[in-house]
Amino acid sequence: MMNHRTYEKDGVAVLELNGSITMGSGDVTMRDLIKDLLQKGKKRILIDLGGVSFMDSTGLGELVAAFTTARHQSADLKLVNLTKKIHDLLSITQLATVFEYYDTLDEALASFRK
Amino acid sequence: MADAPGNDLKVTIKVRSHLRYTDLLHTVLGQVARLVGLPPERLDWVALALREAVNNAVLHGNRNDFTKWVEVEMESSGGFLAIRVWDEGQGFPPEILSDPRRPENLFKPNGRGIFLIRQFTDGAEFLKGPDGRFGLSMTIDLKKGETKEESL
Repeated sequence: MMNHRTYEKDGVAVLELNGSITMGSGDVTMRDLIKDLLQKGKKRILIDLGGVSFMDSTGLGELVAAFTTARHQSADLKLVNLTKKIHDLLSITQLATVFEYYDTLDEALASFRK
Repeated sequence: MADAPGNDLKVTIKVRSHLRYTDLLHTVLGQVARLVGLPPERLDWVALALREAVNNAVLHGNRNDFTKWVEVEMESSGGFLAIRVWDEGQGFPPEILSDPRRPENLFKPNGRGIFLIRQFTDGAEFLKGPDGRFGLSMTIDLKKGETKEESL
């Protein structure tokens, strides 16, 4: 089960996700939400994963797909507030080398201004 | 004690091949984990391995055919928890699996399931049952409190 909230801060579209992102639960929703932001022309997208308690390989795959889709549309997609488990997953799969991620919202928002 | 004979148990669940049952099996694993003494810090990772195996069985093994079955056995004995996930598919040669961490695979959206299973269990092997079913057997050493990711 996944819940979400989208808001704009400092010119950045922030997508806050909560719950599980697994096959059949949250994966398609996350894809649609990011697609929607890109279709609205958002070029700075920040995914707040602080409330994500569980993610499987499908969730990871959706994050990768979102990243490449954003890049093809000249948009920046970054991550913030990774829990230890999500961070471990990204490290083990070496996706930590793909994503730009930050510990705090302020740091992440500041990174878009550079 | 996890390796006390009184804690040995075997749970077998057979469900129709559908992703709707992955959560059910995850929940059962939570109960089994408590009974057999799986260190709590390992539960989420073992659950992740189970979910990957079940999803593979449904999508790839049984090719989304709801008339087929997925059977999951959770068996604890001698300080180990064995989880076997059976489907009615033909299996596949393990050599077709490539390392998702390789640069050419890093941006692919899939191909990480078996890799994660191997990371979060203490042994994973493919089985061919006497009845022709394909199985994935995962072994968890209940004495190991640390997961591989903690030693990164």
